Amino acid sequence: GQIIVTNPYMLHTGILPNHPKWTNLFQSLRYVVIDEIHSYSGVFGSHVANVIRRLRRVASHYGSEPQFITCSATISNPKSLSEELVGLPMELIQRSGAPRGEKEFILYNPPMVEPSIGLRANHLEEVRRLAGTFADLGLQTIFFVRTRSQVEVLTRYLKELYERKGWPPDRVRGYRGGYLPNLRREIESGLREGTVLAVVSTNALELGIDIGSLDVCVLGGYPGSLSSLWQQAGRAGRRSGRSLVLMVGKSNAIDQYIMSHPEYIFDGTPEEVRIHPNNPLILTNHLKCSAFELPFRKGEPFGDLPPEEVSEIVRYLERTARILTERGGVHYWTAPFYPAEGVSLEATDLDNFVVHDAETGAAIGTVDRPSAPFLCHEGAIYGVQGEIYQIESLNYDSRVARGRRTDVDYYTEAEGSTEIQILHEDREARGDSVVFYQGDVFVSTQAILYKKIRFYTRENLGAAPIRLPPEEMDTTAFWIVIPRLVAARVGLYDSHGGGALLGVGHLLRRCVPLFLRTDPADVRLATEIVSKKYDSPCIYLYDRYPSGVGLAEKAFEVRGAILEVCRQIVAECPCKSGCPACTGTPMEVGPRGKALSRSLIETLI
Amino acid sequence: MGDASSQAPHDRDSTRISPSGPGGNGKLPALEQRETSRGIAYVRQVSFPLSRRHGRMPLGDLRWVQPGGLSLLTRDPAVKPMRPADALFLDIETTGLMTGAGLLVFLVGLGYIRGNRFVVEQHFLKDPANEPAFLEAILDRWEDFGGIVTYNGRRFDRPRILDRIQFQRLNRSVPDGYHLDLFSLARRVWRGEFDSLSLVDLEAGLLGYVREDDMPGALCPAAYAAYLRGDEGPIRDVFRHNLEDILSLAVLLIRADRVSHSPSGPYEEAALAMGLEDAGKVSDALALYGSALKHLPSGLPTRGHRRRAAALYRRCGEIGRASEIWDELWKEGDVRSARQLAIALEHRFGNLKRAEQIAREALRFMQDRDARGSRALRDWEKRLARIRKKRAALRQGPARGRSR
Repeated sequence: GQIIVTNPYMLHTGILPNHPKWTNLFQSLRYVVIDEIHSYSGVFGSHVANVIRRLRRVASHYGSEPQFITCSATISNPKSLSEELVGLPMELIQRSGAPRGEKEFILYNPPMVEPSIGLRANHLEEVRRLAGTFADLGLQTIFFVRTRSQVEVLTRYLKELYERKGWPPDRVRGYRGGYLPNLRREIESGLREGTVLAVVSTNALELGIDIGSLDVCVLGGYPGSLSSLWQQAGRAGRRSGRSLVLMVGKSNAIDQYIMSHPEYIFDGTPEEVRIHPNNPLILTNHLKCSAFELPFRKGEPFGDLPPEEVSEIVRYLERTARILTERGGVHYWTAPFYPAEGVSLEATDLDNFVVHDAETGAAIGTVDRPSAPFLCHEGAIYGVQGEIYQIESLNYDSRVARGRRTDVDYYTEAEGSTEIQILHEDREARGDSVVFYQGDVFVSTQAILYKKIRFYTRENLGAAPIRLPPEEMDTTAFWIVIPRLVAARVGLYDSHGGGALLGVGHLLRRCVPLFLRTDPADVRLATEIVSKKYDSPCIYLYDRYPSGVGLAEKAFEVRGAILEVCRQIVAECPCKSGCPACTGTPMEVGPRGKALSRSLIETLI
Repeated sequence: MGDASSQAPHDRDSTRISPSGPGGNGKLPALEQRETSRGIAYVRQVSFPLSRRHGRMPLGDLRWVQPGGLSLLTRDPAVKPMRPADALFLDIETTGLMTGAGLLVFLVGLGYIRGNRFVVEQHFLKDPANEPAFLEAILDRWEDFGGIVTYNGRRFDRPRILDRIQFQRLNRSVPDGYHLDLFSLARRVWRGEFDSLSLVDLEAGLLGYVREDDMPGALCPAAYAAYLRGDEGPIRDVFRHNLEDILSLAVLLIRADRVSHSPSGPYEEAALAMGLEDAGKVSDALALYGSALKHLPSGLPTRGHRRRAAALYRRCGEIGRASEIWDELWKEGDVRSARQLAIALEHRFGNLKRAEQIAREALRFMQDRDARGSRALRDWEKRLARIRKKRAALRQGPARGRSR
């Protein structure tokens, strides 16, 4: 073939480890085109950068030095991202050829239900209402929501709505990453052919896959980055004709900030995309894979990683891991296994749980290990295409969960607690009243309990404990230490001080995606009123992935700007004493929570 | 390429291979150098007289092997032109069982008859940097022969060698010719008889040869890593293991040949019967099935064999004989045979009472195994209903009933 269309996974486990079978391809490789590079962010992007290093190494072995061409949606750093991904100097060409039909954009803020506490109507309910209208008009609509469980909940709502209107409920489909491939292909073609009238999805349907052009795109809340927003909006009216994009604001800080500052969307700077190809875990794994593909010689570089650093890792693989053996200056692979299988491109750790239907034994979905204690603990409600399963057993050691179809009228939400230990302070900056740090930490997260929440009414039906092992890892973090005198002055030692600290922490965390392309879930928060090391209140923002992928570092760098946005959000929020759109409800942060948070933010700036 | 008889371990009919030899313990065996178009290759060569026995069988019996019979057993016509005195026995050792660019083939054993001796050449990857020469030497020798005999070589040995040739871009492929994979044959013939069909286990169970201090296959990969690091002890054991593998292959071929003209025991008889049946020799097949089945209840052939026998009997019109076999199989819980038996009872023998009994038993059997919704279960439900209807009709009186 003259053109091979592939993806990073296939390159990683299929083509590169078996490159002798692709001799013709590598001998005559001229161009490598990488599309949608803005999606190669965080951990995934760091992995892909290393796969590219391996690709270049194999191509060079066959005497080829292909030219790289990358394509990106709008981000603030397309050139530097490309250079990091490819490892070569790149030239930026900025010009869009995509045809645009007329697109109307509506920012819809659900009505205020209780202004004093800043309570707005629930955004999913608003979306549900709108869905009825669009369906009545026969408009093919895509709904983007944030989480997998929201997909399940909204899909279920919509199917029931369709049933009540006498329409076939299978014209509504849910779509998310955990679904098995056959199901996803079926939904995609249903969209193209028009047999699917409404699809509810996570950002899994944001890019790439051709689903034709839809009439309406509804965003259930801000998707977390401008590039995602424009990608999702792009699903409506791809080729020509009028289309509608409607973003429904959630009652959280970022969404409300955008609702009152629409210029952020239309005039603002797009986010930066950061990757960290030299994350030690990621790098070592890929160097291992590369050593399997071609033996390393003394003095060889790896992409733009200099030979001395390559040598260090090769030495580790030889002396400690005993995977390579040197002879005559060349390091051969002598271990009896094939490394790429054990390296996942999406995590730093390949460890998925599989969920089985207890009756039929069939696999119905997968969950990554860190999420498993929160999503498929015993008693959890786990949904697939609007079908509800209750997890009746979880075998942690063999990574298998079994669920049984059920008819219960509630869903579950798990909660946990996190403990932080400081390993090393890399950078330090003194503010007027507080100290900022960036460095390495050890994080231990424990799922504690789950709540049962009734559908529709969202009543809390009770809670039950979760008994599963904690998740532990080393990673990078950005943290703020508030000296005791300052903390006392601001009121953090009062009865609700802890809540205020948490509220400000969450606000900070949620603002990070305004500056850096990241899934908000990749930046985690922990707070302590009395930290072991500093004996003072602390707020920690840490990278979700072991050894970090650059998020905490970026947060440290833009701390001033993040704090300023937080200050604006709290100052402009119309609520009296705190709401989900700023610092949290009075129940969470105390009756003086908002005032407390405001003064806290002032001291942080 | 001299005859290294002065280095041959023993010239008598002993069955042991000496662990020590030239070079002394703990060091690489002596290797001769061989010139190739890509440099020097390193080969250890030993040879044995044809009277030499391995597991009670003299290697020289290879000359009397009949490829026609083997091709019947394996159902592979490509084997027919094989001249056993001209066969190349091949077995490799690698750094692992996976596929991919990182796998190294470090030892290739090649065995063959030359004159009045059985020669084993062991090609060794002395330095991975010289892999092209190593591969060239192997291919040069391979080209002298019409084909190869291996154990699981179809899935392993041959593809791995091809992988390395591709990696080194030799622009040369492995020679064409027949490929007799004795593992496929062993599965066809001895699967029910032995729990394990590994070469070493067959060697012990079938040929009565038990290796002493043999290095387990799983440790061979690590031996090469140790050798590269300077420890030559383990690699000696790999040479010995590989040598025994080649000799085993040779006598296994002799033993397999015997099955095709004098099968012993129900498994070999049934296996040959299947081969004959597939070759269209129905009466010979029937005779052998009959002979195999006489060994019941002890030394049974496998269920698969018995089902095949029953099917052949049925095809030849001997329904009674077939039904006896199905009846025995159903007593052992083989519900597929119950189905055949029920069909025969209902449609050929008109024994509706027994047919109904079988159907009821089978239905309960399926239900106990939670086969709800399966097609087979519905099949039984329909059958039972139909038989009951027929019986009820008969009880009303022959004029109104339908017996077919």
